[in-house]
Amino acid sequence: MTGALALVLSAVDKSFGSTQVLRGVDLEVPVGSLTAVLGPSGCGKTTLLRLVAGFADPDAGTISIGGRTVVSAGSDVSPRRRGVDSVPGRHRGVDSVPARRRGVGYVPQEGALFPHLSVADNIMFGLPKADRRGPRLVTLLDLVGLPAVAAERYPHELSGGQQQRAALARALAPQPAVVLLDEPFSALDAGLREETGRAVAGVLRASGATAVLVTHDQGQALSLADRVAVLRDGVLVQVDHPDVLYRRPADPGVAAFVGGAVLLPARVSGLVATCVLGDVALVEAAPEGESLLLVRPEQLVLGAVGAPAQVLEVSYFGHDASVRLRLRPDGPEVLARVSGLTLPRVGDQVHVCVRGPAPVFPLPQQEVPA
Amino acid sequence: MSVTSRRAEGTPRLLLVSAALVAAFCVLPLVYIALDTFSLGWSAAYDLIVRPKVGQLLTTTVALTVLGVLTSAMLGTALAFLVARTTLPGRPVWNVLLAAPLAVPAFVTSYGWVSLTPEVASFPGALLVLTLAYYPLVYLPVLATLSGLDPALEETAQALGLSPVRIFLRVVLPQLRPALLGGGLLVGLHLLSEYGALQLLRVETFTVAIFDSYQSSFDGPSSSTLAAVLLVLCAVLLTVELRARGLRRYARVGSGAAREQQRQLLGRGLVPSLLSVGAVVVLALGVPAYSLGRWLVLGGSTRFPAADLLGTTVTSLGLGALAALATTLCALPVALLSVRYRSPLTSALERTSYLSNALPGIVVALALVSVSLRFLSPTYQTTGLLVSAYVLLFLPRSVISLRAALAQAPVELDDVAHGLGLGTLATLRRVTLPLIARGMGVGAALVFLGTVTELTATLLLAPLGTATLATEFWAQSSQVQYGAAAPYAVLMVLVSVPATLLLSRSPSRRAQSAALLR
Repeated sequence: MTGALALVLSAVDKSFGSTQVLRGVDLEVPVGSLTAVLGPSGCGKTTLLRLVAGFADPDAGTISIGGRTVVSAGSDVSPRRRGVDSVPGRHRGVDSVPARRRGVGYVPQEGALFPHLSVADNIMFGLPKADRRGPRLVTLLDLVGLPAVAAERYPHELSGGQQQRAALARALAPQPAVVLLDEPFSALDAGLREETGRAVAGVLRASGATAVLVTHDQGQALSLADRVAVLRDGVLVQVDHPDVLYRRPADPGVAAFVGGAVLLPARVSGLVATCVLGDVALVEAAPEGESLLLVRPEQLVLGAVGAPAQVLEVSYFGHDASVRLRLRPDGPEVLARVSGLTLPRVGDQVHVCVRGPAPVFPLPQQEVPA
Repeated sequence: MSVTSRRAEGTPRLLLVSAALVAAFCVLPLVYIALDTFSLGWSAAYDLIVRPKVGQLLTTTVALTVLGVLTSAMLGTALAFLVARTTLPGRPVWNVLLAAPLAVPAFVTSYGWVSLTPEVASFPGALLVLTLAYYPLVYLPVLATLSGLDPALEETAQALGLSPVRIFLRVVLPQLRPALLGGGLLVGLHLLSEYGALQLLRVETFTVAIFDSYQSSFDGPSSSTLAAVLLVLCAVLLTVELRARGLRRYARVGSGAAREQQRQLLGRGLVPSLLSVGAVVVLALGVPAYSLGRWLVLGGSTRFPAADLLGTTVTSLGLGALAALATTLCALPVALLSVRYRSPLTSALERTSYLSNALPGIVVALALVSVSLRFLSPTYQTTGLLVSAYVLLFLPRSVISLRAALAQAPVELDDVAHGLGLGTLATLRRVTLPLIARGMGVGAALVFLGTVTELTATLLLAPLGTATLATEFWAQSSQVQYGAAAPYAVLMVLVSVPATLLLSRSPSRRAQSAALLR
């Protein structure tokens, strides 16, 4: 671990009624990093964010921000009655700093700008009265790339992307230890989503802020974040650099969630796995014997050499195309991603080989061949 | 048939003429008051207006209106906050009980108090009783706004370091502004036009004075100059509200799935909160109910003249039904034009029909009496004249409901029906009417409710020998025959129950109804 940690979650549990939403979540977020929490909807990622922000409390575990423990729950905590700051799901036996004293920036879905305030008043909302009229506004507008004229407008006069930028500026204004972004781009349309995402990531890096971004969009997570934490059924299954996550996923489930995956039975021997597509180099050493090999669709090369296959279906996207193939004779179906320049046609006989190294997973224990 | 060709066809003449007639009818009271005041001549009008009596009335009326609006706003907001945003136990029950005073006419609430203790017949007493009668007009819209606010707004403010009190002041309260202003305006207009309750409570405002001067002396010029001052007060109130509201938008930005709001634990505030909510329900509903029950059971003057009771009930039901029918018929052309044939002219006609929302019943009644006596004397003291007063008073309720319903029946559906081979009448019967039937029903129910509990105009305009539940109740209770009055009040509430139930299905409809009840 290099550098200081801005946010640490350890052994965090959370249930709503009889449904356990988070189970033993451990997460460390280094200062200045942009961490994406990635998971399908309903996996508990928004709950995770709300626990950090202080809108709800965990059943067990501790969370610290900037080295200060903001909530710690469990049997060893002295009970303390809470007053008006209490929120649903708060329990006795929880020692919790209220949201307003945690120093986190929060960017909810769709920004949630205050509709009765101008953009300028929105951005300066969290600052003490004396600091609200000052050069900071210009700096912030500039930072998030909003034109100066936008300051006097009202939220409904801004485009969706501009609203997100203003919401980010509002969250950054008090210089929080951590900025939390809850699916901030999901309300924007596809083109704007990518552009705004890149702009927001750029702003966060430029301001040196530490950020946690919650998203269900793996493309967004991989392209914007320094680190991606994959949350599945309330459990963090892998936290890694996007590149590592993609090339060496922790299990076949993660592999399939972060991208296209072709899983083939293989026999490992040394640093080579032998499968129906021939010999494939391994990304790292693995136990000898029967395994499951993960090949990404873009690693499959259609050409004159390799295993024979028949083209079943071609989906053309312009910049590239995916080709569904059946390996002959009566082999498994695989998906290849190929350049859009030279396309096979349905029914064509082709040859497939694998380019680059690939990871293997141990075979699932319970699966007994019939 | 496309939208453009429909426009090219022009606005149907028949619709236009009927809507114009309705609008002209709506302006009638204003014109009458203006003409009557001007016909006096400047100096005579000046003498009638600038006198100590008027100064006294002005002080009482303004003080009661301003204070009443403030107390209703505070009480309504506090109660709405408790129900919408805290962990108060029994919220669904409290919610119904707190909105219920709207179904009890203010003069019945006052009767409940006065017949219990005459001490309440004073300015502070009137302030208390009318606040208890009218706070739901603020409570309902504020409750609807509070439940509809995006929780992300308050969470963001929390993350930015604001305390709960400051979040309420800087985030929640500004969002409540339209609801508070709208509710406050309604309370103000009610207070300005209240007669029955204030007469019982012995507080003389303009409306009370106008009524009494008309009853005692049939003094036309004197009443109409007082009415002119009353109208000016109404106009001031409307202007203040319009100015305060401004042009700012409060609509929610974006449209994502709204989450359930955080509720605040009451903690040590639990017992005081429960006690205060309970106290409001006891004072606003319990006291009138207790009084009515007591007079029904114990009162020395209580008797059950079955024939009279049945007769007045039938009269009230009949008048209510007639008024609902007539008002819906008048509202149809106005609403149809304003939705289907939008133009500056049709919008102006629609706006004119809302005018009577701000006209006190006493002014409408005076105008109709005077016009019928001068120009259409055979109509004086007829049921027709009474029903036209109801139409004037309650037209906005019907127009607004019909408008909302018509917006749900877009003209494209008519086009589809025509495309499938249906003629104009068949389209009306099979497409448009089924779609707007519900809205028509809501509007008619609102008019019916208003008519059954209307007192001021009914007292002035009812034909000799025509007694409604409201006027009979009034005749008895103003002669301190509290026991004899009780059965009429009970029947009035019972008759209102079905229509009230129809209106109180969903929170949004409740808020809408609250805005419509005047």
